Amino acid sequence: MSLSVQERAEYVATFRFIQVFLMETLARWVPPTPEMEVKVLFGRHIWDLAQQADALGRRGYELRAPLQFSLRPAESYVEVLEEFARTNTTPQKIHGFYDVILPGLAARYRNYLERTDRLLDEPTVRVVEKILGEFNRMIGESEALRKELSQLRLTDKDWPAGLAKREASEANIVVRRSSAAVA
Amino acid sequence: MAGMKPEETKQVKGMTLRRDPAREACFKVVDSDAELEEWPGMTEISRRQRIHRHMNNETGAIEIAAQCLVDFPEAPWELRMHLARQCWDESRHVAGLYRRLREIGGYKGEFPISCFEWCVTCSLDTLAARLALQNRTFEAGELDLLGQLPAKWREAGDEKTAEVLESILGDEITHVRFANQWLRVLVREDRRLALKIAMAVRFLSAVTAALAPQDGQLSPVGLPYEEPQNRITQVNVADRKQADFTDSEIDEYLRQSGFQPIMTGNAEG
Amino acid sequence: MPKDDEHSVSTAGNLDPALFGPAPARDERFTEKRRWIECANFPNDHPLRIIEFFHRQMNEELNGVENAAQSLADFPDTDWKVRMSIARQCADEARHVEMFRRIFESRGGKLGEYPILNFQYRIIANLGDLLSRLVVQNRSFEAGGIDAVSFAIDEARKRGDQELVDLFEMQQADEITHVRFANEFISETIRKDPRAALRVAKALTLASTAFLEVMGREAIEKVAYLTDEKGRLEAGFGLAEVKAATTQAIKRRASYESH
Ligand SMILES: [Fe+2]
Ligand SMILES: [Fe+2]
Ligand SMILES: [Fe+2]
Ligand SMILES: [Fe+2]
Repeated sequence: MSLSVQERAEYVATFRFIQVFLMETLARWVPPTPEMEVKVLFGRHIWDLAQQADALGRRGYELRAPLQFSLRPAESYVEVLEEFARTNTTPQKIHGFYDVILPGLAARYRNYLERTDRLLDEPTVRVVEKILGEFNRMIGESEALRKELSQLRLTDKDWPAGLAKREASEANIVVRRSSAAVA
Repeated sequence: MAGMKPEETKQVKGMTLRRDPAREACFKVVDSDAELEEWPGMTEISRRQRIHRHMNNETGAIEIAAQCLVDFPEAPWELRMHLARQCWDESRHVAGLYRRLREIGGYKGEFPISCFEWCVTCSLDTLAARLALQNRTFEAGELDLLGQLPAKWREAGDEKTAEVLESILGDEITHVRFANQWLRVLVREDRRLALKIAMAVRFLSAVTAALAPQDGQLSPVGLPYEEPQNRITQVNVADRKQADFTDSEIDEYLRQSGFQPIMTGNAEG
Repeated sequence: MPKDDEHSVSTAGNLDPALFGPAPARDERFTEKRRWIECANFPNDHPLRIIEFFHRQMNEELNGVENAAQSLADFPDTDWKVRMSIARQCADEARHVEMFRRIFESRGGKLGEYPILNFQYRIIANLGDLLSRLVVQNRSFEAGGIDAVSFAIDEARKRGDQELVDLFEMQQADEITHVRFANEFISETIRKDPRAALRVAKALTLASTAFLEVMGREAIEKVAYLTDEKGRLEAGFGLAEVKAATTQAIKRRASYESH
């Protein structure tokens, strides 16, 4: 069975929460990250993430939620995000963000695309597909920088693997609400 | 200033300022613009130093906008979108200047840098005050400066740098504009912010005065400092208008251009 | 623009040329009728009633695309934000056409099987300014559509037709956005020029006269639903306007039930 309008609004609002959180995470990292090129990379992607959040926030309004409405995801997932936001070293920030968190979110977006009715919900599909394309570009840009500056590469392979495991541990991150809480 | 934890601050000449943001080990970070190496004229070393300094100021601009996103999550979403967009613009400015710096033989850390604008702006505890200093004062000052610099670089035969500066100017107008527009809204909604802004401007004057070179002191390159009145940049009326300054604000600014402590540290960026 | 009667249109009882413009083009699969009474109006309990409704609705959505597209073409000087909303509406209505076509065909319907009405386009595109068009199309027909869809969602749910519930819910969310941007445009226009309210009144009178000519009293009085107050509020109607619409609907229903 496909999703109802309210369920779609809940997904979109939850995705928006995550996008804003990630935008703020990169913003938080810019001043304390020493490498100039990484500040530049993050600065570019802050705007990507904000625009993605904005598009979701406008779509939520069309799905009968308030304009630019966010819903907090499942607590266990928020904990993963919050712990990740406290990451200290630049290689961990980069590998965690571009190899684990963005691909993890992309998988959740693809899962949404599989679940929703692509015709009825085409405006959301367009927003999400555009985001997925932009994620690819963002990840590509981080890889190019890692090629240029070898000190950004992480030698500890276990660290991203552990993060990926925690990221994926909560399959369903959308917390169902009463209709009054979304409208 | 209120709101900062002790570990987030630094003391400079009796003033409490926000501690510098992180920089790579190759950079020597100094506290004031007076400690920067300012080479006269448009010699090769002077050109590299100018771009290097501007590049670091643009880095500071990313950091200030990013920190505003972090510190004021309850700000209106539209305003946060402008700040996020500013992060992107400033990042491109850094990248563009860094590319140009390398093209003319410069490198990261070739000259000392100062994060003065960050240290002052991020000491302030309201978004309105930060926009008033960073966007409406420092960046508006940059509009004036960028109005003249391209011609100077062209005169020196450097068309490429002139073009980089011109594209930066286009973006800076939008940063000053959104700050002007939003400051009006914010102050209309909460009159107390006007006081916060006035205090911020006074704070900037006090810091500028405290960090100014002493009489007779020589600059790090062994030259006397230029008198403040000789450093005044011509007000860029056309671009300030585009940036949504009102005519009366521009008039007032033109009138005051004789002293402007704000302008004494008019770094290129 | 195609001339009226370039394609197959019934000749029974010509429509008032002051109220109706030319019909939009249709290919030979479709047969256009002028009046509701000439359509395939199955009784409530007839199994084909819902199938025919999908076909009819599909064509009305096509009228929605045509009207929005026509306004984009006719009023190039309109504020860009409004033009963006109208362009977006073209895409939404086009999607609605596909939605109804999909469900119609999946339940055994064949395109062109039933006659169609193009009165929406003929009434609306005949109005000479955007304000009048949005008043009639978005704020009147589509707002009425929000009410109708709410009712239809309940009915479909009672029948256990989840596919249709999903379709209607999505359509309703889209229609709310169309009514909303029109409401914003209309109040902004009247705020700037209070005399524009006269044009609004004139357009509504023209449209309701024309609508009555197509539908006949019989069809209109069969309307069984009340106002969707929540949907109308989301669509930017004021509380007083919503209450007035509800009162009207109650009166309409009372007069229908007393017959
Ligand atoms: Fe800049
Ligand atoms: Fe700027
Ligand atoms: Fe529609
Ligand atoms: Fe519509």
